[in-house]
Amino acid sequence: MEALRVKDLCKDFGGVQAVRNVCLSVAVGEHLAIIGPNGAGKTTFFNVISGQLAASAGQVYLFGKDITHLAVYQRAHLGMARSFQHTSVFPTLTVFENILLALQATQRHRSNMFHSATAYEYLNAKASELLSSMDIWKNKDDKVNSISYGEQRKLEIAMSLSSEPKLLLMDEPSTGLTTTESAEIVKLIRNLSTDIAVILVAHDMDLVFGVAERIVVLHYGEIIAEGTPEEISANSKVKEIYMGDKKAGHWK
Amino acid sequence: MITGRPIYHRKDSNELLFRFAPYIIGFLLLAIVPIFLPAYVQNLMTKILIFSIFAMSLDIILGYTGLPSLGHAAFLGVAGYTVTILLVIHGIDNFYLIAALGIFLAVLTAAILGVLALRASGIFFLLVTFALGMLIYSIALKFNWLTRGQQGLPLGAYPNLGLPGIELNSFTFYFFVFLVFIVCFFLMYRITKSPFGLTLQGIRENESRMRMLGYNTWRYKYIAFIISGLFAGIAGVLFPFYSGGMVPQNLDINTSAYALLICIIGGVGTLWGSIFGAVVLIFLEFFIGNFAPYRWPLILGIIFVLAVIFLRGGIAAHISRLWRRLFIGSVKS
Repeated sequence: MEALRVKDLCKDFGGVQAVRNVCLSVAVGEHLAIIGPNGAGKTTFFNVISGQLAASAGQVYLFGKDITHLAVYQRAHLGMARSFQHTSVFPTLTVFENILLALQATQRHRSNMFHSATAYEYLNAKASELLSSMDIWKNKDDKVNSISYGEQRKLEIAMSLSSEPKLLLMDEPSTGLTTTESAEIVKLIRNLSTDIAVILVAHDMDLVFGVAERIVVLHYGEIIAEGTPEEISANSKVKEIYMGDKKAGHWK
Repeated sequence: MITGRPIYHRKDSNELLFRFAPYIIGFLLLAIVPIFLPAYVQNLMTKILIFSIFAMSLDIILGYTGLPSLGHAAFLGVAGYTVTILLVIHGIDNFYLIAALGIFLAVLTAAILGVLALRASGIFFLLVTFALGMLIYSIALKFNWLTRGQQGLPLGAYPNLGLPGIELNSFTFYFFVFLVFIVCFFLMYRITKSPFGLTLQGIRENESRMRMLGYNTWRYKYIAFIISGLFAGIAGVLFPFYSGGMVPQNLDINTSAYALLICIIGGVGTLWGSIFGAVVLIFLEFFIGNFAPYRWPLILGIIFVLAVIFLRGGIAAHISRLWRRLFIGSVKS
């Protein structure tokens, strides 16, 4: 079954076509990486899928449902979650409050006004599990603006996992992380439940080749190559874009 | 999907005492001290409590949701005028009825103005609420048939509670206001600690992230705006009994800015901070007003500038830091 299908998607900014006629389909549980040079339209593509930007043309389907015109928050309830390239958390709240906000977002009690936000034991347990898996449980009472950037990244990822999404969009998850931490992210994505589809945008090739089952290469908003990591690393057009020279040889 | 009901563990009595001791001490002070004070100070205390409710209601949208409003006096004014008009012109002296109507109309005003104001955010929200607040002010000023315009509506009575043996006077009115204040404080306290309250803080910090997490942020802001109008309406119901009626000036920018100042000096985003803000500002206004009545706005401006420079986070931040240093021994963050 398809988790996500994108049909003839376009996004214009005035005269600039950031995304041009992109067609793409991601199966349930599949790990797909989108790569491409800076300005290729990767993040714009993400923003259109997640609803931050409206599509200029084309459709987006999530599990067969047309979500092209749904609001951002509605997509979250259909099982879509996203982590951001620039850490997007709640800086003056504590780590625990951050994860709690992410957890209660898809719960019915999120509008409750008379219970304590921290009295929902099943959420607290879930929060502890998520934060521990990211190794930031020790920071739970620290304000987010006082923890390190690497820890904030981990929180960001923990938050995007907290709604138990079926489709996870990750924009540069390893930015600002050390090689070891980045390797942890690879492990984490690999260990995700098999029914979660992941779309990853990244420049970090270790990450891309570590997790992706399929790679799509975007260039000037168009898909110019698509295939398994082996096929992509052997693709001459991709080499040309990245290295600017056909004879550049093996670029990985 | 995971589900479950909230569970409250019995807390260690020491821990509970520690957490609530400041509130208990504060409220006992507010309940007992006025008995021994001269009437004019007691009258000031009444004003402090009413403006505390008013400023706390503003803090729900200003401090918790991050929406700076400069039209908050509209809700106070709508409720205040409703009560005064019904009481003075129509002679309805059932307090519960007129209070309910006053609060209802304040909520209705918030529900209508909220739709317009929440199209904007940040500084634009400030401007839109300012404009809408002035609109309500002009209604109070120009609709002579309803509000008697500039002349205002004097009110010489205290609420008729309809309870046998209890007739409010300036002394007992304080305790009535105090009761309302306690109820409002705990309701607002609960709301700010609830999942809804946490959601508001998330919106203040990072609205687009909240949307991505699955929150319909507009709806939360709208509900917060209405709740804020509700509590401002409660303050508005009490206000004319304290001030002896309503004049259009009660609705103008000064009253809104006054509440904003109370919040900022007290500590934005801390409910109880507003109480300290009200105490400081209202006592200062009284004493300085005695010495130099025409200089008060100037001095208020200076206080504001000094507070912004030297009192980051308001009085509340400094008091809680002091409290932790005294009783926990270490200061975190």
